[in-house]
Amino acid sequence: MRWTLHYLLVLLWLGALPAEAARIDLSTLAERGEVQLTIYNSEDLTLVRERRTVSLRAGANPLQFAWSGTLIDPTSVSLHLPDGAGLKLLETRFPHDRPESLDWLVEADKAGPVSVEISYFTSGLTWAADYQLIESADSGSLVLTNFIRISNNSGEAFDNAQVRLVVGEVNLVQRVVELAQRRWQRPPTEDEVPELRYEAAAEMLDMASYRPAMALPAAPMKARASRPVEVLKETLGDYFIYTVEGRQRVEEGYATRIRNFQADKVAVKRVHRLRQREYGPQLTLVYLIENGKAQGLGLSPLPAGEVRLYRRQADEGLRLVTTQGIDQVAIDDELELVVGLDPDLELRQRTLRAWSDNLWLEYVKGRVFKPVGDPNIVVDHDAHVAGWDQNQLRELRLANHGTHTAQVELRMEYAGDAYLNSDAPAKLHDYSSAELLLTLAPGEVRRLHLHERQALGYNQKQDRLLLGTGPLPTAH
Amino acid sequence: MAIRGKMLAPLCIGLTLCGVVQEVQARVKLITQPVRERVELRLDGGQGTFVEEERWVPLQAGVNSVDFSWHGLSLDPASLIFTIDGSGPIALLSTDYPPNESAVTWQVAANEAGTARVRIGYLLAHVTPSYYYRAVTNPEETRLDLGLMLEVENLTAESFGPLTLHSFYGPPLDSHLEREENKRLLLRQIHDVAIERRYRVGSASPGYLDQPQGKLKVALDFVMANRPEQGLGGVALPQGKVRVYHGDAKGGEAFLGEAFTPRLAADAPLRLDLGVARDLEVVRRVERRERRRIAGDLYAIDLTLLYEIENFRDSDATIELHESMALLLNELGVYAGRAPEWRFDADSDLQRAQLDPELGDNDEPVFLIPVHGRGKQQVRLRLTLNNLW
Repeated sequence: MRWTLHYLLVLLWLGALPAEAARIDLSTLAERGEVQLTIYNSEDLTLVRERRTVSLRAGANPLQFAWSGTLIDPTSVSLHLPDGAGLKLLETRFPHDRPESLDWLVEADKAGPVSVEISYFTSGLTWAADYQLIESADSGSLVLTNFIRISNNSGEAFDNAQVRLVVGEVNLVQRVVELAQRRWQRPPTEDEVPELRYEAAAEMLDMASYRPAMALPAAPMKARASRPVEVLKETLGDYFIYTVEGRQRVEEGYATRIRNFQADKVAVKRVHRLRQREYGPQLTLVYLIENGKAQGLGLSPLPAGEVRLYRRQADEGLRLVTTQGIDQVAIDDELELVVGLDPDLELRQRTLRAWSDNLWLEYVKGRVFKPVGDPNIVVDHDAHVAGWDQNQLRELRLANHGTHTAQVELRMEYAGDAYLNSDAPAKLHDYSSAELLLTLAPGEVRRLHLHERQALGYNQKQDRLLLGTGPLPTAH
Repeated sequence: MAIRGKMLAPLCIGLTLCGVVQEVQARVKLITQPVRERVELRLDGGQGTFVEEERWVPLQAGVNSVDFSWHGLSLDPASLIFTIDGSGPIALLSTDYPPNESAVTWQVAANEAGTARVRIGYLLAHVTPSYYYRAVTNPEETRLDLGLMLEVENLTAESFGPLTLHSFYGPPLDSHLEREENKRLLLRQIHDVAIERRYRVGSASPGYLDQPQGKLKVALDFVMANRPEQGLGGVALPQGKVRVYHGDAKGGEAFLGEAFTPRLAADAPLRLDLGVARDLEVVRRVERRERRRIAGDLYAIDLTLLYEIENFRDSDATIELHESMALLLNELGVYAGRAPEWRFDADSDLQRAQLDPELGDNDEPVFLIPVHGRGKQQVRLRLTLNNLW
């Protein structure tokens, strides 16, 4: 069943706090005015700030805020009164018989209308980034389009909303949806509130320039524009924030995708990598795209999201090459897109020869034998192989069947005390792996030979890889 | 929703007749349904079958809602890509995904009324390609004609047509594809491909015909180099089933056998296993086995393997001998747990010169042994299995 719910801000005109058992109330509703949504993409978290106008009388005024059927974190609901208006928040109560509501008691010096702010966290309102990359038919540059997709499953529709999207990760100790489903049987104690709230809450409120009161223009909800809305980008402390131009209606249950930015000539570095730990045992085509200003990018970090790479065909059609999730990419950092196997570049590996040498025996004890009728004796030492070097000569055959020059990076990874000598230049990547960098012209077939050695048993003295030089051993 | 619910077509595009603001919550509306002009089915992507369709959509000046909906289809909505071209400036404002519906709405702004060409692409499941080869040899079985066919299985409730099928392995093909239809289309026909006959033996594979007698199974392979000068195109070939027929001088055909071929790189040979050859016999025996202690528990085995080969055919043949060193060590009761270490003895008939330069490795060397027609010969592989413990 789909809920149709709204928040309720009730002003009680009874002049005093209601008795706990007596709930005969006369109420007026204060409609929501402006609203600002700050949606985080790293967590299911949205900071909602809304403004409502209430009429107060001089003295104590009870206000009730209710949110049934939504995903609001009750511990995060705050009332903010304008400074210098002679207003004072005396008390916040969580009634035991009304689980999804709270009461505020506000004292006013004088009667009259007052604009108040209410803020809270909700879950179910999320945003995500989608990337559409279209590679030209000649495998030259890419057209990169970034979309932001806003989904609202919070149980509430928001009209006239300024939408702000935060790029960055916040630390949460408890999820909003869990807190939203928790019902207070009693008001939280002073110790419980900070325990249940997110550590990031106060920080985020500060960073969102919470005080002075938000400067939302009082324009009415606009008709949908006849051009794509712009998305403004600015830094916010360690975060980056996108502000969607104008006011939006964020419909409950819907997801909406709008274009964030587009770069038409994005250079891409294509490299074929053999990296067992990262990509598995196969030669893998990887695209590297710098998030820099020279590319028409670099105005903000690239938020984490889904990338879809299409290749334009000679007939103008598109071919979907790969789909991949990416983490956030900082300004001037590289977006790494794992395209997968490239049918144009083939790698075959085989072991041409295996042998062991530098064998060491461990002598345990000796046994004495004497033939009958012969004065000679034979001492047979009970010994077994305790250490050896295991060698192999391997061939890597690379063939470029494509029409473009291929850049190849082979990362050879070893365990233990290892040695590598090859007929192509190698350099250490770290203590246990080495890299060989090659360029293959179209149609070129290249055979590499590697002499690999691993010291085992007693011979293993280190955990390291040594690079050797000189001629390689021969095959059989 | 009421209108969408009455649609029979699994895939449907609609244009709401409303040139002004279209509130997304209003799901009762009057729509036009532009017909599909053409469809491209791309079977060559790494993610599955990608469909691109083109339609002409009437637009009014202002904001237009273009609805795209489907039911009974496994369409990945995240893969949808929408492009639009018209005579005047047109802008895609947003994409809306209504709740609990298999539908997408694009909000499109047009400066003036007119028609626009839209292309919609998406991943669709249950439309799958496979490949099939049909080979017919000449009477001498020295050359063959090879047909490569694309088989498309459409298990969806959607018909596509007219459409163009794109495969990685051949030119685009124009066709129609009805709902739940299978279709086979000729992708490439390659004539006069040179065949090399290889007689493959090995104790591990294809194994023994009669193990107590030491008789090895002799597998007949047709081997074709995938190079332009050999008749093939020098491009990658898809995996698939190959059926081989013997063509006689009168135009008749006899079925020789069938085999599966894996996907082949551009220069990898196409190799077809046509079954067991009975006109060659290879007997394998361990003629000598001597254990030689080196020190402590370290020892070596000096070994001679004898192969007696007899060719009952009139023509010469080439035996491709695979000797699995791992299986050989097993045969000798040695379980070292290390890569086999071996070397040729100086008086061995089989030496490095007989090794196939491309096939085989340290674990399973492959020797090429020529045998004359009606010939009989003995070949010895003498080797030392070294550093065993």
